[in-house]
Order: sequence, then C-alpha cells, then structure tokens
Amino acid sequence: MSEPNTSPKEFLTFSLGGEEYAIDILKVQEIRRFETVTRIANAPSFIKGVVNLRGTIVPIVDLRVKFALGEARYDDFTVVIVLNIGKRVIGAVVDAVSEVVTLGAHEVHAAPEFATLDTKYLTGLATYNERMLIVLDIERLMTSSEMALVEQAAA
Amino acid sequence: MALDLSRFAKAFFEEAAEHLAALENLLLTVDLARPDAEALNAIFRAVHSIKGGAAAFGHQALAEFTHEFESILDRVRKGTLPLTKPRVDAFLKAGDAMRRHLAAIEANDAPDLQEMHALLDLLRTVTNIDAVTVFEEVVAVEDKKPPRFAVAIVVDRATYEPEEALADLEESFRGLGELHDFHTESIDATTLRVGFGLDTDIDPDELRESLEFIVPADSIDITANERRAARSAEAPAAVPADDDDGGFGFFEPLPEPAAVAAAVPDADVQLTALADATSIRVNVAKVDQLINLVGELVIAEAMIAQAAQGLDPEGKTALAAAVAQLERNTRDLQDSVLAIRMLPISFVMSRLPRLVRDLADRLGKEVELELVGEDTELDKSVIEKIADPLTHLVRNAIDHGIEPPAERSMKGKPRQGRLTVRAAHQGGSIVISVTDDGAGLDREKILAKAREVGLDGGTDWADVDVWQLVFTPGFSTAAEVTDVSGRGVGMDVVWQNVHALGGKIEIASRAGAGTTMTIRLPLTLAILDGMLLNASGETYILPLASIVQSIQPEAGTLNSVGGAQLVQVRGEYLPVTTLAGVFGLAEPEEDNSLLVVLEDDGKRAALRVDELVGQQQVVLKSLEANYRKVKGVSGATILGDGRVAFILDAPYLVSLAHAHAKSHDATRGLAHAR
Repeated sequence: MSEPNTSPKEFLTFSLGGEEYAIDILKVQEIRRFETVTRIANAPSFIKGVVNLRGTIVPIVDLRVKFALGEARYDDFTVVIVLNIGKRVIGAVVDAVSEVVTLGAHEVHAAPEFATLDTKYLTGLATYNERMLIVLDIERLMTSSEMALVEQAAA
Repeated sequence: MALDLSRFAKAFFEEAAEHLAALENLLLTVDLARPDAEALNAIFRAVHSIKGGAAAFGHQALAEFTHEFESILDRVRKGTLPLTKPRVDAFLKAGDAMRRHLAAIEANDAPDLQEMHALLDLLRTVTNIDAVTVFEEVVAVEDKKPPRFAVAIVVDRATYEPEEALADLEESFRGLGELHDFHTESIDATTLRVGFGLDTDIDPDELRESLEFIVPADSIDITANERRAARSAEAPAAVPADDDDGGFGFFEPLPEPAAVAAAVPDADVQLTALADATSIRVNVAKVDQLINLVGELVIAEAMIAQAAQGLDPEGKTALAAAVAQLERNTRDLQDSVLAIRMLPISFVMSRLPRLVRDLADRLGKEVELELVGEDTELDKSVIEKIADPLTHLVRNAIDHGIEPPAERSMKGKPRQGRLTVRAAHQGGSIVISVTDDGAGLDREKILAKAREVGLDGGTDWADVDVWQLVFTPGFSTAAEVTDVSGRGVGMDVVWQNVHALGGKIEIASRAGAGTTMTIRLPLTLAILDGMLLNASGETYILPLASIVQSIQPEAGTLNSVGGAQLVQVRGEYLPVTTLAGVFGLAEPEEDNSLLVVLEDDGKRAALRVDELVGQQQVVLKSLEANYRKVKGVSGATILGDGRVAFILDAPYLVSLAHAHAKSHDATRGLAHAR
C-alpha cells in the first residue's frame, strides 16, 4: 500500500464527472452492472443501499454523490466497481470504467489541495497519455469515518 | 514445495486439548475410595498421548513434564500410589499448566517454564516421589540390538522432492524414537518409498497413530521386530528408564489386560472444551446423508430441465411434480446441512464439574452437580455464546444460592447442596435450566435494594416481576462482595447475552427451597421463521417468534395521547410505531393499514405495516460483514427474487415505541391501569 515500492503497478481508471480517477487494481474484485438496491435506514445519501452479491450482502456507495461529480443517474449503463478492502467487499458506483494503466511510482506526483477531496485520500496525480489521472487511496477513503461504512471502533 | 508441518501441529494441539479435557473429566469423576482401573488407565493414557505428541513436535519442556507426570500416574495405575484429594488437585493443576503451556506454544509465545517447574515440585511433594526421571534417558541409551520397528512409507514424490522437505520429514520421525538407516528409493515417477528403522518404547498402535500425524494413514507399513519385542517382554529392565516403571506396563502383563484396551479414550472420554475451535468434527452418517441428498437434488433438477424442454399440457403436469420433488429435497438438504452445525451441549457442560468443584472448595461449600441432557444438540454458534451466561448462572447458584454446610444442617437440609443443570429441546427452542436447592431469592431484600438504587418496586408486584429486577445493571443483593460474584455485574450481562441470542430468561424461586433459572433459546441462529411484510415501500422481515397477532384497527380503537399514538388491544393500550418513524423515511403508511402486535420481554407494541406478504423461513446473513450495524435491523436475508431484505429488530422496535410513548408521557399510566 503505502510502502515505497518502485516497481510499476497497475491501476484501473474510471471517470467521475469530467475527471479521471485511478485506483490500485489489486483492490478491484469485479465490475458489475448496477442492480436495484435495498435502501438502508438512516444512511448518508451516498450510500445507496445493499445488494446480494452471490450470497453476501454488499453495500453500494455512489462516488458521484459523495464527490458531487457527474449526474447520479441509474440505468443499464451504470457500473459498480466491486472492491476488496481488507476483509470487506464494497461496491462503488462511478460514471464509467475506462481502462487498466501501468504507472511507475515516479510517475505519481504529490497532489495540491482539492476543493472536493481531502488530499489524505489521494496517492497523488499522474499523467497518462496526456490526460491527468487522480490516483485515489481507495482503501483509506472507504475505511474513513466520513464514508460511514465501517464501524469506527472496529476500524 | 516445502512440507507444511504446521498442518500436523494443529492436529496435535487439537488432540492434546481433547486429551487434557478427558484427563480433567476423569480426574473429576474418579472415585477416590475405589478408583476404577479403566479410569486410571485412561488418565495415564491421556498424559502419555500428549507426551508422545510433544516429543514428536519437539516441545521438549512439555515432553519432560509429561514424562514425569506420567511416571506418577503409572504408579497410581498400578496401585502403588493411592489417590488422595490433594493429589487429584495437584493433577488437575498440572493439567491446567499443560493447557496454558500448549496455548503459549500455539500462540508462539514463550511458555512459562517456571510454572512447570513449580508444578513438578508440587507433584513430587504430594506424591512423595523425589527421584526425578529425566526424559533424555529414554532416548539416550544406545545399544546394538536391531531396531524394534521397520517402517516403510510410500509418499507422493512431488511433496517430498526437495531435500529440505525430506529432512523435515526425517526430523519429525526422529522425535518418535531412535532413527536408524533413513533412506529413500524411487518406486516410479510419482511415488517414493521412505524406509527406516525405529527404536522406541511405544507400542505399534501408538507408533501408527503418531505417524498418522505426519503422513497419510494408508501409506504406512510397520513391521515389528518380533525377536526384539519378545526380548523386551522377557526382560523389561532392558528397556531404558527407571527400573520397574520404565516399560509402563506395555511389555509387562498388567493385572487386567482387558483394561488396557478399554483405556483408549472412547465415547465416555471424548468430552472436550474446545469452545473456540474453528473446525468441527462431524459424524460420518450426517455427511453421508448430505451427499445422498445432493445427489437426489441433482436428479430432480435434471428432471425439471427435461420436463421444461417440451412444454405441452402433459409436460406441465410433469413439471409441477418435479418442482414439488425439488422443493422437498431442497428442504431436506437444508435440514441436513443445519444438522452438521449442531453440536451436543456437553461441549459447554463438560466444563462445569471442574468449575463447581473449584468454586465449592473456595467458598467452603459442598455441592453435588447433576448434569441432565448433555446430548442435547444445538447450533455451534449458539453453543459458543451460551458458555459464559451458563457459567455465570452456575457461579451465582453456588455463591448466592447454596448455603454453607453448617447453615444447611441447621435448616434440616442435607449438608451437600444439589445443583442440577438440565438441557432439553422444547419445540423449536432449547431450554437450559440451572436449579439449586439453596436459600432462594429474598423478595424483601430485592425490593429494598431496588428502592435503594432508585428503581420503583411495588410491594404488590408478582414474584416473577420482582425476580426480573436482578437483571438490572448494578444490582446485587449479596451482603458482601466476594471474588466470585456480588459486584452487581453478571446477571445483567447474562440477560444481555441471552437476549442477543434471541432468547429469554426466567426465574422461579421459593424462599428456603431454591431457585431455578431457565434460559430459552432458539435452536439455531442460521435460519429464522419470519413474516414478510411491506412497509414504506420496502420488504422487511419480522421474526415470527416476536409477533403476537396482527389486527386491522377499527375506528375508535386508535387514540392519540399527547402526540403518541396508542391502540387499544384486548383492553390494553399499546404504543404504535411506524418503520418510517424509526428509519426516517417518508411516511406512506395509511391510517387504515395493518397493525402487527410485537412482544418482547413482556412488553408489547404495535407496528404499522402496509401489507403482510406471508410466512417464510429465511437464511440469516450478516450485514456487518461488509457494512455496520443498523439500528432497528438485526440482520438481513436474501429473498426468492435475489433481493436483500432486512430483518427487523423486534426488541428494539418495542422498546423504542415505549420510550417514545413515555416521552409523550402517555402510556405508563394507561398501560398499567388495566
């Protein structure tokens, strides 16, 4: 995760609004179509609910709502990235999944302050094919208290 | 691919734990005046088996300890050292020390060697044996006789190909005794024959058992060197170790040879305290049944597939029949799978004799414990969670219930108190009760204490209601705080644990005659009989056990008192709650919708729902595995259409409804006025 590792790593990129994000591909279990969720009582608006993923109950987070990016529409083209965070399985809704890219550690640079996103959830910024990628520390983000996904005492 | 010895180590720890549990159980039940020869042999064998394993896995300190312990037990077995209570106490302590030692090794901690030495001293003191026999002597004596056993093992080449794996294997065999001429030869491209001679003082069956830790059972071939064995039998002194004790009777005819065979731990002895083991041992018959049922299921499925291919009117009838069969099989299969998770409650109850003995000793009381229904089976997850509450109740019964012997004599009771722990199935529940013939609960004392801590306890209350007060946090009527109980923590924790399991706890008590605490629990936490309902646009499930009735409220039965809604049901005013209110959803429930009356812990409340869908058995799924706890929801399940539905937390809804009504200052007077 955060230990200095100079060997290149693979990232999955996806778009939110007009921005492109990248996350460590080893955290990605699968990519699925958005299914109807069962709403959870008293949950923040970006937690859409839970779905049945082959017998396990998986919460679905809409990153578009969380970051106030893009339009939170739900149709046949809405995708969910199923993440493995620690021992947990969490689904994240994004606008679209783009591609898998390989980035070396030296290609990811420290990020300046963002308006929408706390920099502590960012690994950094990278340039790939002349596009800017925002490299997210998805594990840190998903286990943070503001995501309200994990019981904080246990985390 | 290196040989993974840790796999065998786990088996060793599990077996050692079982041997220790058997040892404890035997020591607790043995009749000091007329000890049963079989029991004494079994005690010896338990320690002996641990010694074998400890040596094989290189736990030298434990091997030495068990060796000495075993020497003492051998004298006991042969009748040269009579059993006394201090000796049994010391043996029990030795068992405890071994358990801690093993736990330390398993956790990769440094075991407490000082404790072991202290215990050895204790053992020597109580048995008046000071000649120390050191373990190394057993293996150290070298003589030129041919080894006692020739062992040949056929193994898969791939597993043992690297030199280190082979060296590991050799190392583990070395622990069994003295190794001669370790060699390997290829049989064919995939298999390898490992051969060696082994000189050891254990018998062939035990050697086989020890080897089975290391390699598959069917690959082992042991040939005993008859001449050598015969010689050993003639001259037991030739076997190294201290004089007449050395052979431990394996080569000398014991007074009762049959007893030795019977001493192999069998059904009577297999009581264990493996509470937190992640593996469960399953009866083969159960597994076979499961496999057969799966076969049936596959066939039924094929029938459906075939019938569905050409769907004409005739085909439809065939399909309906096939579906019916599939349904039946699936239900049976589910039951069988659940049966695998069922364990006898003896897993918990077997700890009690020791607990009762120690506690009674410490408190200067005499207690006879009776266990009834140890074979009662319940779900593994329930077993694990019931251990603490049950232990607590037993402690309480001895500490607060049963009087000291002198007091009992004065009251005309037998000096020895009687404690009965009973388990039985009753419908879909399991009922566990703890009964003592002690002083019983003191109604006046409890009421006085209640007033003291600021609870309202009416003198006109029924006994049942008074007894429930003891479950209040911080409540204890014990005159003095002992280290056993009386701190006022305990009963409320028992109550919480039992409630967390979806159970209930009842008290029956008569002053001077004793107390019975009864825990009623669901058989399993894996499935639940539920009622599907629609409310606020979602499907929810209510546990059937918490539903009293459902009613269509008539005009006039609903009242609004100070902002809270109340409904009159059979003359009782119940607070009405809505899921919309609990979950903060929009409030689409109509005023003419149904009310479901829920009950928890004697309190009732009505829940407004749009529609009752029907009764269904649901499989419980954890919501907390990937998310967190949600208030008002006790779990989740997956419905027939693949969607997730939440299971409502009925106790929470009831208490919330009452709290809400109370905050509007409405019910208390009305509900109790009845």
